[in-house]
Amino acid sequence: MAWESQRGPMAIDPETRDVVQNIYIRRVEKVGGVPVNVIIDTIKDVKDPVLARTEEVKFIFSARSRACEDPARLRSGSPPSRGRTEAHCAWGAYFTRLRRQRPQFRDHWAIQRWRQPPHTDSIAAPRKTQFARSMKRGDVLAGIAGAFERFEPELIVALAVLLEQDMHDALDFLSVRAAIASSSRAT
Amino acid sequence: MPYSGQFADTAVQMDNGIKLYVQRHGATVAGKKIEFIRKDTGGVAPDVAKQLAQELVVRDGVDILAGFVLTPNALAAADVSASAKKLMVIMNAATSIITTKSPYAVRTSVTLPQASETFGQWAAANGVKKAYTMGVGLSVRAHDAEQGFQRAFKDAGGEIIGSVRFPVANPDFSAFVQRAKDLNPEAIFLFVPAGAQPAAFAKALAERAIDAKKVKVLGTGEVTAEAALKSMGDASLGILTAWNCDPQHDTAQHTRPS
Repeated sequence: MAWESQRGPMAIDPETRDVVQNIYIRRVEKVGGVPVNVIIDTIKDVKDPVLARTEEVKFIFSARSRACEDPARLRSGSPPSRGRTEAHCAWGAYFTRLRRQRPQFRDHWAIQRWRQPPHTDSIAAPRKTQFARSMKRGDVLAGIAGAFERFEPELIVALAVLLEQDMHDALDFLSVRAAIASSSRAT
Repeated sequence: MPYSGQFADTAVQMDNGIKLYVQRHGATVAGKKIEFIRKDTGGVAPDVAKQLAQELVVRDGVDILAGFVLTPNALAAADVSASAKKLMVIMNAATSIITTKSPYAVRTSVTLPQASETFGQWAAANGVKKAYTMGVGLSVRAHDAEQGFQRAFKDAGGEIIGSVRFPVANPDFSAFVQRAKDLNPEAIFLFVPAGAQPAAFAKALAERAIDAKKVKVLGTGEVTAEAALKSMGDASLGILTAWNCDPQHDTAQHTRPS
C-alpha cells in the first residue's frame, strides 16, 4: 500500500505493518530572519531497521523451504546441488548476506568453508546425537525467544538449527560464529 | 490520545489534522461514513488507555482504534486490539515493538530507529568519525534513539567516544555538556523528548560555547520542532536533525498555511 503524502512518498510494509518513508536530514538555517529546518539530504524509503532485522532472522528461519525451492533467491554464487540439506541452504543465504554486509569477512576461512558441500550423511536423515536428544524443545524455544528480544541473529539461527536436531551443523555454526567474533576483536 | 496534560500539544495537532482532512475530503471512505469518538488518556497511563480501549470496543462498538501518542498507552491498547481483532492505527507513538504486539496494528507515523539509525549511517558517510551520544530520559524512546544511532554509526565505521543518559527531571544540562565538550567529539548526538527540554539544551550548548561549525550537533526531529525553534532562537542555528516530515517541506500536496 503506497501513496503520495505531504511528507513525500509513503508506504506500509506488508510484512511488518510499519511505515516505509523518506527520512530528511535537515539543518537549522536562517531563512527570512527566522531559524527554520532546511532539508539538506534525503534518504529514501527507510524501513524500520529494528523490525527489518527481526524479519531477516524470521526469513532465515523459514528460509529452509523457500531457499531450497527457489535457488535464484540464494544469490550465493554457486547454485545449490541436490545434496544440500535445507538448513545448509538457509545458512548459505545468511552467510551471503553477512559477506555482503561485513566485507572484512569475505575472505575469512570460516565463511569460505560454507562453499564446500555439506556432510553427505545428513541428506537422508538428520543426525540425532546424544546432546540433541537431551535438549528439550521448550528450552530451545525459550532460548530463541530470548535471542529475539536481544536481536542476536546468529544465536537465533544456531538455536533454530538445534531445533531441527541437526546437531553437527549447529556446532559447526557456533564455532564459525566464535571464529568471526574473535577475528572481529583482532581487527 | 492525551488531550490533556503535558502531551496535549501533540494530541491537539493530530486532532487538527483529522479535522482538516475531514474538512477537505469529507468523512466518507468506501461508502462508509467515519465517526470519530475521542477519549482522553491524560498522559502516560497504560491502565487508563487499556480501559478506554476496552470500553470503546465493547460499549461503543468501534471498528478502528487510532491515535496513540505515547508508547505505554499504545502497548496496552495493542493487547485489546489483538484480542478483539480490531484494526489499530498508530499515528504517533514511535517505538518499534508496538507493531509486533498486535497483528492488527498499523503505523502511519515514524519510528525512532528509522530516524536515528539512518542518521548514524549518514553521519559516518558524511565525515563524522567520532561521536558522543546524549540521551535525556530513561525511557524506551531514549534507548531506541541512542542505541539505534550508536549501532548504525559503528556499523558504518564511526567511533562512539562516550555516551550519557540522564533523567528528564534534570533542568540543568550544563555539566553534561561540559563533559561532552572535554572529550572533544566531532559530533554530539542527542535525543531530547519534545517539550521544554530542547530550548534548555540549546541554551546549555551556547553557554559552553560549543561551536556549531566544529562540533556538529545531531538530533532527532523533536529537537528542532517548530515550538522548540521559536524558543531556541539563534542558538539553534547549525543543528542537524533527521526526521520524516517538516512543515517547511515543499511537496505537491503540501500547502503551507500562509
